[in-house]
Amino acid sequence: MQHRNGAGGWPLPLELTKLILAPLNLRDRLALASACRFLRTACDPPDCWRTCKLDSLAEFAGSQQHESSMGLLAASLGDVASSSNPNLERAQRSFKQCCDSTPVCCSGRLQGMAGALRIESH
Amino acid sequence: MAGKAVEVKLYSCDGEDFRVPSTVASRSETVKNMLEDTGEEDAVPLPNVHGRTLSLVLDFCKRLVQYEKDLQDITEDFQHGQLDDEFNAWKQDFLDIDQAVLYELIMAANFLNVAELLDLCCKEVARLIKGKSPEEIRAYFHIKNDFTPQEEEEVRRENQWAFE
Repeated sequence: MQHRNGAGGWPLPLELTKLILAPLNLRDRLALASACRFLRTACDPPDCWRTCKLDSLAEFAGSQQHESSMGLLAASLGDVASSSNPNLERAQRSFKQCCDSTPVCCSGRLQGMAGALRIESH
Repeated sequence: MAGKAVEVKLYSCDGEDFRVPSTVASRSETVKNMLEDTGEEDAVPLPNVHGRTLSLVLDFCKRLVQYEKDLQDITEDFQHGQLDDEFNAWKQDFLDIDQAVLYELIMAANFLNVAELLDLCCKEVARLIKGKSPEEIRAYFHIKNDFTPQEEEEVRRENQWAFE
């Protein structure tokens, strides 16, 4: 019984692949997304994050002040959201520092925020 | 009937029969619903699951039922941790299987709706992914790189900041 999906050859369908993503941190998700087209699609941030405003994301991050990494993220998002010329690289650097110390339960949200940051830069 | 566990009969897509207590079979929500609809006397066909995979699913369900029964029987707090340790060790041995079998188990756990098994197997695949580079992931999971050179460059540029 083979369950190969498309040319990339990843063995599981989309809905099950998304289940596997849950415990992965951002860096692991990005590595997976870089492996083939199917996984890039599977790892894409959900549409709801794409439509989020950065100030809403900053507000959310700011509400997580018990997490130092979230505080850092909030600062980055705040910079981007309040600037007419967003410093994306700085936000990304700060975001990268967050990744290692991010609890699993927050990684999905952080992934979405990363997506929002990239989208906002274009 | 008291004290005697009701057995149900399941059969796989390749014609293998399995007789198991209904308490074990009912750990699958799919089977449980079928048993409620048709009664426990009729054999339950499972057209999406091979015998070798169903055997593993049932092994897991039996051990899970045993673990939950043991939990109910304990009288001292320290025994809780001991049971957890034993069950976790059992699960580690259980997952000592080929990649192809692991994927079949995930598909079967999803079809049969055995939440604990699906969760366990998905976490195992996630564990295998953790810490690997895109190249290592491709090699380990036998994934073909189907990006065009332009797409690959775009993906690399987009995600580079996370790997620096």
